[in-house]
Amino acid sequence: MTDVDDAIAKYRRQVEAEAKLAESDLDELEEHLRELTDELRTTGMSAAEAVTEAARRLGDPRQLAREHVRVRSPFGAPLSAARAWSAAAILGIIVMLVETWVELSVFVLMPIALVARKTWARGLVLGVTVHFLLARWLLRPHFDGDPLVWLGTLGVVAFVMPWRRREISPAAIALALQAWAFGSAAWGDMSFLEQYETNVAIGLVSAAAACFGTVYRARWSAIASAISALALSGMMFSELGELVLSRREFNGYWIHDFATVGTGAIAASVATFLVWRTKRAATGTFRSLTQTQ
Amino acid sequence: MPRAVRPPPKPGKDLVAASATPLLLAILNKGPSYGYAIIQAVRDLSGGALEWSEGMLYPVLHRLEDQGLIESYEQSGETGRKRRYYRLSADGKRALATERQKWTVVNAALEKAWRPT
Repeated sequence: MTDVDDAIAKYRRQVEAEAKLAESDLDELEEHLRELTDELRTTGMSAAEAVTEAARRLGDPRQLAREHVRVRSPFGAPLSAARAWSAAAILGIIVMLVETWVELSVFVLMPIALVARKTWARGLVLGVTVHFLLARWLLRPHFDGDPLVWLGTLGVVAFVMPWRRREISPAAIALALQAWAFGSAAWGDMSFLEQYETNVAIGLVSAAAACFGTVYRARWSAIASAISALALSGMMFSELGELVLSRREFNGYWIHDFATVGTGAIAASVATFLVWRTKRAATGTFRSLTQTQ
Repeated sequence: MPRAVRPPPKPGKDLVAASATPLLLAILNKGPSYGYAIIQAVRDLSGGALEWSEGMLYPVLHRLEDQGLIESYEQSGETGRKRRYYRLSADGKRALATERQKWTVVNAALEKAWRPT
C-alpha cells in the first residue's frame, strides 16, 4: 500500500501548501481518498491507478483548500499578505504615539494579529482605526493631533477596508462595531467623562468581552454587547443631563464628547443585533482563533 | 432497429448548487452519514444524473454545520479508521421542512406548466 500512502501524503501536502487547514478536515479528505481508492481497486485497477483516479475525482487540491478557508472563516476572506503587513507596519509606528495603557494594549495587539494573519484581525483593526480617526481628529473642534498619526491611521483604514464585495462578513462587521464601542469607552476613560467612572469601567470591560466573545464565536457576545450599549447610553444621557442642568457649556467639545460616546452606543447596539442574528453554538469554538490563511 | 434512448441531460452548475442543501438535509434526515456515503447516496438517488465534485461536498457540509443545521461527531467506521459522521440538528429538521415546502411549490408550478392544455 506504499504507493497509496505516498500519493495520499502528496495530496495532503498540496492542500496544506495552499492553506492551513485543521488536521481533522485533512483527515476527513484523506479518509474519502482511501475509501474511493479501495472501491476503485475492486474494479480491477492497480493501487497506483486507483489512487490517481481517486485524487482526480476529489478535485484540485488548491481549489479545495481555498474553498475550505472561505467556509471555515466566519470573518470573511483573509487579507492578502501585502495588505496585512502594510497595515501592521504603519500600526507599529503609531503604537509609539498613543497616550493611554488601554490604547497601548489594543495598538500592540492589532499588528500582532495582522502579522499572524488571523482572520478576525481585519474587523478589529477596522473598528478601532475608524473610531480613532473620527473621535480623535475629525470630530474634534480644533485639530490638535499629530498629522503623521492622522495620515498613518488613514493608511491603515485604506489597507484593511473591504475593497471588493463579500470581502467582509457580518461577524467581522459585528467585531468592528464592538471594537468601536471599546474605543468610545476608552475615550471616556481618558477624558473628563471619567466622572462617570462606573459606566466607563462597565463599558470598557463589556466591550472587550464582546470583542473576545465574537472572536471566540460565542453567543454570549451579544449579551456583552448589550451591556456595553447600555453603559455607553448611560454616559451619553448623563452628558445630556449635565447640559440641560447647565453645569456644562454647550460647545464643540461637548458635541464631540456626546458624538463619541453616542456613536459607540449605536455601534454596540447594532453589534448586539448582528451577533444575535448570526447562528452560533452557545459556547463557541476556538477554531476561529487559530484560523489563519 | 430501435433507436438508442438518449440519457436525459445532466443538470447544470446552478441547479446542482441550488438543490445541494435540501438533498443533503434530506439524506441526513434518514440517519447519520459521512462524506463518502453521502456522495454515493446522491448518485443513487439521482440515478447518476447528479454528479457532485466530490471534494466540494466537504465545504458545503462544514457550512451547514456552521449554520447549526447539522452536527458532526467522530466514530470508527467498519474499516477501523476514524470517520466524521454528520447528523441533522433540530434546526436542520425545521430547515428541511421549509426547503420541502419551497421545492413543492416550484415542482407544482412546473408540473402545471408542462401539462398539455
